[in-house]
Amino acid sequence: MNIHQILAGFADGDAISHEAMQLRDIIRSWGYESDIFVEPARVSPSLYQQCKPLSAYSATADDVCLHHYGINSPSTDLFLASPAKKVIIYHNITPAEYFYGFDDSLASELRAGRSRLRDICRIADSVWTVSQFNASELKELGVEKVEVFPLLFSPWNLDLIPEPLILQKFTRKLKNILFVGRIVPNKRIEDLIQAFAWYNKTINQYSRLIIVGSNRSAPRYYAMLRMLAGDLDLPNVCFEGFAAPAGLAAYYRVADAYVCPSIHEGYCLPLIEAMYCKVPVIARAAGGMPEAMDRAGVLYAGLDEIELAELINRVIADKRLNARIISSQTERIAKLQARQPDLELKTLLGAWLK
Amino acid sequence: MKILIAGEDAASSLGAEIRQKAEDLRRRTGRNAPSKISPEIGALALHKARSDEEYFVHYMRLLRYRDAYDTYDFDIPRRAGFVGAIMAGFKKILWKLLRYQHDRIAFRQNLINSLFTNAIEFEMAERRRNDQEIHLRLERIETLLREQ
Repeated sequence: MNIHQILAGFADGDAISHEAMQLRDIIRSWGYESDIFVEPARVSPSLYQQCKPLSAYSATADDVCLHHYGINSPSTDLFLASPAKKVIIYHNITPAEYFYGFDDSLASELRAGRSRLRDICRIADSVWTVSQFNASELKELGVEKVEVFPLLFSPWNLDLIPEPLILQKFTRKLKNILFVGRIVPNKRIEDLIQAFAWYNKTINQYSRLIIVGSNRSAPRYYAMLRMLAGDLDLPNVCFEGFAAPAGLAAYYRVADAYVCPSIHEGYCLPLIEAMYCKVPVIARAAGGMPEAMDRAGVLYAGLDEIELAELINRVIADKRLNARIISSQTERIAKLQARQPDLELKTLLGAWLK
Repeated sequence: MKILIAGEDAASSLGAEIRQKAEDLRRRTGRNAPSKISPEIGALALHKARSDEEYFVHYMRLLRYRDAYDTYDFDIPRRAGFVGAIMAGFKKILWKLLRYQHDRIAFRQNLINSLFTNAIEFEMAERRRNDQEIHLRLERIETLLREQ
């Protein structure tokens, strides 16, 4: 019996890809054969050795196939055609409307992904999601039995020695506000830039906004953000692009606050990463983020850019408030580290395991 | 307004303070506030685009407003105290000394920027004209084929 996984894409720094690798390692430790299958064109060169091409996938009725679903792709058709027992892991699909004007072809892929969602869930033998938020979306679609298997968190990359070049780059003692995530429209990075404009111009001139994440997902959105930073005359907005693991550790090391203004997230792993690195987290109470935060850090909603700037200021400047936030985050991380994904996975796969 | 600190509602305590401070900040103007650009030509006007084509049209329009940089004086950040005043004074003198060369370079750079913007616009106009021509020819061919 094999327990393989099928993914739409496989990239360094991608939460789904890292979860797939963790699941594979757990399954292999039980003695089963387990591999990750991806369309080669959608694999980061650094991860070629970690996966196999979709064309190499084969299965029997005794096998189990896990499919991580976050966008419509040829991998979903292969999953549906597989004779194996089918498990779909729903990571959420960003609503297409956020991408209108920024990337029409991606918007149509997302739309197609959502329109197939219910049918795919009905065909699957078991449906898992990485958050209650995602589960509630599926229940609204009429999918009755949904299991929640929260996204796995492994701090291996954050424990690396931080990249010295990045530490050196940000040596100058400015207050650093950090955002980590793909630069895509649902993240509402423009809200953060506008808030930073007020923070930088009216509260603390000695500050910078560091934006870390791939800018290739929605280049037109990225162009808009660059233009906005120019309009607001903000040379201290640093677009850093994609960060390798040691680089990411360095960005968290220099950060004074992590802010996530996203309006749609299935879970949002960077919140957990920031908490692990003892950076106070401020996130919009939207999507799966309140669940990822789980009574830690700061959640907000209904704040305009000036109010958000002031909230950031309070979190950075008020030492007592800062300590309270960090303490709540430390508790959250302890809770996550006490998780036993091995047992959770065994329970979910249940009777299929021999 | 909703603010939760470590899971506890802080909208009436911290939230009220933040709202008050924000009101004070809102009254600031000039160099002590972020620059204001008309929403019609601000970067966020790109949000209005509903397709790739529309985005491109909006983008070109906004680029036209941004193909040169100004040479106005800007606010030099200064730290508090004597050392802060000395450093800020030094930076001001330095800026005055460099200004002549800076303005010459800015003039040349802005010239290049505007030439590039014009080139993109010419290219766009040419592409549109070609597209229209091809479209018309296709229509004519299709009509002919239907008639045969």
